[in-house]
Amino acid sequence: MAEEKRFAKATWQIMEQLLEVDNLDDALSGSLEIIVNTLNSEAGAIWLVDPKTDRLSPMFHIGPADLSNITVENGLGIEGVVTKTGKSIMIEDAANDARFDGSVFDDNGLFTKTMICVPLNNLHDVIGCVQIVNKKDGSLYDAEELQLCERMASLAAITIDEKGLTVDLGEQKEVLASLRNVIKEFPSGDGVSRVLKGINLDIYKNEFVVVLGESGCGKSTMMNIVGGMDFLTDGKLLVEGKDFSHPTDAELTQYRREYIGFIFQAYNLMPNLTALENVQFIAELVKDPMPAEEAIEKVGLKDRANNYPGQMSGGQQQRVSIARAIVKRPKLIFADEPTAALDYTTSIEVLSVIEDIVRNQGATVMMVTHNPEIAKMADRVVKMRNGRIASIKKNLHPLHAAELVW
Amino acid sequence: MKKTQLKDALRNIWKQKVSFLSIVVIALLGVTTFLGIGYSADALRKNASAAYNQQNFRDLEVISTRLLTPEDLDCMRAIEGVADIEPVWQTAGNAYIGEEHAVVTVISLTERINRLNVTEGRLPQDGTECAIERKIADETGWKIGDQIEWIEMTDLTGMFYDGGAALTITGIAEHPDHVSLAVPETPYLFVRTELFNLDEMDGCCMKAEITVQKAANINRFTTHYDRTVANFTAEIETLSEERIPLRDEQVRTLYFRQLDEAEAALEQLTHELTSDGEPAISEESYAAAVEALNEQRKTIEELQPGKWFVLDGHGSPSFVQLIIGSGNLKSLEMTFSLLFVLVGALVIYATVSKMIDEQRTLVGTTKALGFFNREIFAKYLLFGLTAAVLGAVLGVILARFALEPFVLKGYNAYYTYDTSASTVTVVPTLIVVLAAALLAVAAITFACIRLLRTPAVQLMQQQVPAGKKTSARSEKQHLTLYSRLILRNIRTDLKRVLVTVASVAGCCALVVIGFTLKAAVDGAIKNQYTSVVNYDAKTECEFSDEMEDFLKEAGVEYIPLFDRNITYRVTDIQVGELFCGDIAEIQSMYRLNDWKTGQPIAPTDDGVLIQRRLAEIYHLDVGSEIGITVGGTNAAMVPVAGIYENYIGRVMVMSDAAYEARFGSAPTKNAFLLRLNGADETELKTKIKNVIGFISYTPSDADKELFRSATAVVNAIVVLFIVMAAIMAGVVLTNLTNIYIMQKKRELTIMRINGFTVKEVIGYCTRETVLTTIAGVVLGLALGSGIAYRIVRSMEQSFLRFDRGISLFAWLIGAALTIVFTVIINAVVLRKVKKLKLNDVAS
Repeated sequence: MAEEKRFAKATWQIMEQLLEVDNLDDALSGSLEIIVNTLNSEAGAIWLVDPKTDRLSPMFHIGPADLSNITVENGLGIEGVVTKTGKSIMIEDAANDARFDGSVFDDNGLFTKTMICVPLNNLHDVIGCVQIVNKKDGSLYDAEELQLCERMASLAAITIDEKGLTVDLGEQKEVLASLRNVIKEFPSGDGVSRVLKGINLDIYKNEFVVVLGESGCGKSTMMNIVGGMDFLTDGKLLVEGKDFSHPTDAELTQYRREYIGFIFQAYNLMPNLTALENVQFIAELVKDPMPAEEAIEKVGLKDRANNYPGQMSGGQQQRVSIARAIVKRPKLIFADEPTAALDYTTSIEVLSVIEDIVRNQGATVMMVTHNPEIAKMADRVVKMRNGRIASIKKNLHPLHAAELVW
Repeated sequence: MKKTQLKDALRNIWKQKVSFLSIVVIALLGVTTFLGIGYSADALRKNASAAYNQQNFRDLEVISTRLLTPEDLDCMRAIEGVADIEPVWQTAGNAYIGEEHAVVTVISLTERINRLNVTEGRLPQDGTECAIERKIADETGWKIGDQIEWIEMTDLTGMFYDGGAALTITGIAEHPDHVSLAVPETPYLFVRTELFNLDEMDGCCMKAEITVQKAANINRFTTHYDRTVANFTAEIETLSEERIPLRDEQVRTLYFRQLDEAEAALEQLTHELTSDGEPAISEESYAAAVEALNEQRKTIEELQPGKWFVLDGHGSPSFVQLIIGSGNLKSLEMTFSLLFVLVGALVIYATVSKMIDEQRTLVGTTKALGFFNREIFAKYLLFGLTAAVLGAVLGVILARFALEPFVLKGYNAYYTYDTSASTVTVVPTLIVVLAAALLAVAAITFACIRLLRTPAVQLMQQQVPAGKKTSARSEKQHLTLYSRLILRNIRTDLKRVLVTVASVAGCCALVVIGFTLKAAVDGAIKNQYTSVVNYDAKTECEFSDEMEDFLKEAGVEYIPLFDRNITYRVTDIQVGELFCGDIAEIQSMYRLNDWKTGQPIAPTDDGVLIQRRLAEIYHLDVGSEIGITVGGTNAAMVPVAGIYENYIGRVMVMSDAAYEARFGSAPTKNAFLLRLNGADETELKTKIKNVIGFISYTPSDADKELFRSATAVVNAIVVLFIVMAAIMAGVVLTNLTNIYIMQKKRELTIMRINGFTVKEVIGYCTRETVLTTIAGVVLGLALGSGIAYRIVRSMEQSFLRFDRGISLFAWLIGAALTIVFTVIINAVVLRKVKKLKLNDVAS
């Protein structure tokens, strides 16, 4: 009885999500979250078929494995079979099921024990599938649970049909940096506290990733590790194939110098240097920087190039800080709450500059923020919770900075 | 360093100019005093050496107890490497013009060695002329053209002086023996050699002056010079072993011949008759005379072998005084280096570490942006290093062009040569500048090291206040919240507080040192004339009833005394004065209190009573022996029978019996110590001159002259120290107070926002200042007294002891001035509180 009630409630919630949320991406990912939570599952994904390539890729996924860059040929693998045939598959017990010969989760660090995969049926064809993996209590999925999934899938399909969804998942992107099972522990009291509990994440070239999460969820720690400001306790950090898991202090500095740009919440400009000089200050560190004047121009501060930080507004200072980050043509720019100290208008100004450097200048930006609205302009949104990656979502239609409202 | 980095580093210096200046000033003060004093010491020696060389001062002087023969001189001249040798004739006497007289050493002019520096007139050209030293002219008022009427000989060698005639003074000249005016030596009266009867001496001379080839133009105050000359000292001493027996034989022969002649003359007398027809000499008398002659013969046969004294520079009291004087300066230099190294290092450390703390986030940012630690360190190194080196270089300039000329000018009055030529000694200068740089690097490294080791992430986070976690209970509950807060502030910011305390202490210490030195000198004079000297004057005279009658009649209390200049030797030869008489009597006018117990020393015939400084310098104690030579030739080893408390002078005291036991004859009284008991001194002085046998009258406080140079130097030092203390307070404390305000800006602004009045906020700030000032003053008093003690001890000489006690007056002034400085600085700096912008907190 209790289970039935729970399922009924979940169904209602899904309906609410799908009908009332005006953003379809969010509606779908919200629905999957409800199912994963209701069925107490370890991971889940929504796969969509790209009609141009006839390949499936995960538009949204939950759980410790980063599937973002995985594509599956329509018809192959469980996901492919379900999408191709339009029929649900439930692998109750993977260990003893002949149909099961491994899944993408297994390849990305999650050992599949039990699984449900249901098709997303449009009126005319199958546009993808919904997949959930492993129950947290170790039990196996049953028919009722399969039914809940199918119900959600059909509701989703209806919504998609109503609202229309153009699936353009883009090309497969080149990996810039990858974190594999990264663990970070800090000494705390007598023991240690584990702040990152096994992070798997890839960052692709020329993408804009936003990391969302509550205070203390480990997002800053993760960013510090990728940014070369902190050492990881265990796991691997690869940047362009080079292993930076256990560098020396000097190697780490060299890494920051060559690979990374930073945009801080508090700007942290050198007070004794003018805007232009602040940029030159950093440009001098690298072999092939952008001309400092050009960087300043790109952030729209040509007129204030010779002003000292003290003579500029917060937004202007933050733009200098962006110029400073891009001038050395870094592989990766980290932005830590860059708009937290700014008002709305100024924030949009700053975000527009960031958007510009990603969209038009080929930069890769990883931004940590509290503000879920900003996530809408990202290519991908990584949610972290309690030291783990909770979900990764691909925005099918990222908004422009100017469209954000809060 | 990259271009923009350099730009940033330079602008950082400009922004932090008060901090930068405080490092510059502390380095400047340290280097100026250290080098200024060091240069002065070096210049003193260098100029002296130049003056000596210019006058071709002898490298060695040979004195014989039995005169030196021309052959002796020839032998010495023959020693390889001897450049020149000249004989000198001299004797002692009192020169008279009317009733005015001067105690002088009559000395023959030399041609090449020990050339005179004629300051007025010219040198004597014949036997009717003489020249005098400035000191004689100053004491007597004699001038060129005056005629010295006669010279009363006071030494045996006077029999070789032929100058019975009056001498016209033709010039005033300085002899290189007497470059130091502070050394009480008998001045020279220069006459031509022909006034000495060379035939009578068989061509022998009193002294031989020698110059050495290799020593020419070497700085005479170097070990190189000492070593060069030492070889010749050894050679001449070896030569003396060969020459002395020959001379002894010659003397013996001469004496025997004289005795033979005397006997023959006596013989002759027995054959002669007087006008009365009586034999000129009775049989008995003749026999007695012959007996006496035989007695003499025996003495001559047993004549002790003669002795040569080979004196190098250290045989010249002026030279030794120069070594001591410049040595005193050197020891001051060391004391200062300690003080400034300590305070300087602390100031640099505090300034840089405070600056880095303020720029914590910036350091974190630059780190995050990919700067290497060394690149970040370079900025702060540039800051501290340029400040320290700039300060040091300015210090060198100031030392050379301000302090050194100032000090040297002060010394000019005490030397006959021109002391004012400044000098820069390159090696110490380089070492000091380098040391300042190293000190800065060390202090900066120390200040930066923790920050550089901290990861960027931590640096960019809000700083967690330092300090241990303690439960509120552990803090003294009876303290007010304010006091507890201030204590906690101090605890969390211990570094700055410690440096503030150190700077206040340094400032206070400087004032205390200055005034303690002054008190030490003044106290010594006061003590000497209240607790040691209890007579008003000393008169030297030939002992006669007439003099005693005169004194009795004048109502003056007096005690008879044997008072002679002596030389004594413990490790080196020094000049002193010996009193002999009834010890109990002497004690009534010249107190001899035991240096340890303070009780009067019981009269003793066991040996000599020496003054405390002598015992301290040579580590003498009762029972130690010292060699004393009276009248140039009468030498004996005398045990120390007691050590008495004394401040000024070179007096040793013996009982008549003790003297007789050691020197073989009873001391002949030649002076009186006088207590005037209200008698009119001017009248007494005029009258006493007419008493037959009167030689001189000296007021007891004439010794105060010895303090002239010490007092002048000390007064200059006091001024210098107060100025330094003011500068140090002005810059260093301003910097620290500024740092405090900057650091507390946020806190103070919040206080203002919450409704505290400006006055209350200032009050909050000053509470800490009060605590640091008190702590600094206490420390400064201790430190100042300690350092002052060291300086006082190092300035003491064999004839000078200062009052070494703590000076309460110095403490008072030190504390008061320091407090005044602190109040002024706080009043100026805390005006910033008024200017706090209340809307700053938001950003």
